[in-house]
Amino acid sequence: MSTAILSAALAFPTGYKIPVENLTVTMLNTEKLYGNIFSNLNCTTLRIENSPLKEISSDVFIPLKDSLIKLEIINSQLDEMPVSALQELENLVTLTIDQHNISILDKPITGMGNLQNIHISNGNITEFKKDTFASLSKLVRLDLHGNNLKTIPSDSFKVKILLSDSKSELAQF
Amino acid sequence: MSNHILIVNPLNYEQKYNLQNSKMDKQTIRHETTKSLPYLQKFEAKRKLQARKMEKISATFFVSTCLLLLFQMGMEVTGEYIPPGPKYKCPLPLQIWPCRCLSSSDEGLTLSCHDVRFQIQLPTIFLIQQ
Repeated sequence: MSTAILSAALAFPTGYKIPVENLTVTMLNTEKLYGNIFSNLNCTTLRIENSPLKEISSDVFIPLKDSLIKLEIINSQLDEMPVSALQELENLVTLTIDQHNISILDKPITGMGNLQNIHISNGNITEFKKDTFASLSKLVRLDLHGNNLKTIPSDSFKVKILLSDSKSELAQF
Repeated sequence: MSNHILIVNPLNYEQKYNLQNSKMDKQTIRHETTKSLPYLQKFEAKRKLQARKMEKISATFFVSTCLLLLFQMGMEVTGEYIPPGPKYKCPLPLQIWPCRCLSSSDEGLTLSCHDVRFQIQLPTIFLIQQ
């Protein structure tokens, strides 16, 4: 699916201010997600799956910054964490990036002040830095299963971060 | 002495009688009182019965008024028309093509957009929006 067509399809809910509780986009036929495809859309849950996405522009999610609570990107070609695009989502509670090509989490994940659950699973992550998750003050659940992590940097999770279910998931590194 | 005085104010009968007819002796007064006693009892019973009826009517009227007021207040607070079905209904398929509306609810729509060809020109998009 092209971003242009997607924008057209969402015109009805946008124009008449009908909220979209769940929006699932499959086989989005583009490598870069950009433009104002979600302009004025009031969407709570967004799921993008089975798409060859490699890059997400920093301004794509701005229209969803007040409404989006759950974002899932499943089976993509993302090779780095789209930090700049995600940091606008102030009300996001759950972020899932499953089946990806990200190999290293070297940039701090910022913004997303209400993020509680983060799943970056089934990829090739070999390492992350000690400040990668440091600014996520409300993080409760970190799921990194199915990656190639060997070590965890010291001081990665200071006292303010409570990982409620960390034991079972860290065991799967 | 007339029975009328006895009935109107039986408790002060003796005193009133003395004022009106001081010549009548006490024995006569007792005799008259005894003679009018059944009338007094009957009158008293009737009066109590009427009082009870009035009390019942007043109480019923008070309760009915309160209920009516409460009902009206309740209607003002909660009374609104809620149309049947979900608040947000699925639009016509053509209006959200190429997406599909899977369900509708009071919270919003559930949309699915699957495998749509791209490279569509912008004028087409604006046409669909209208």
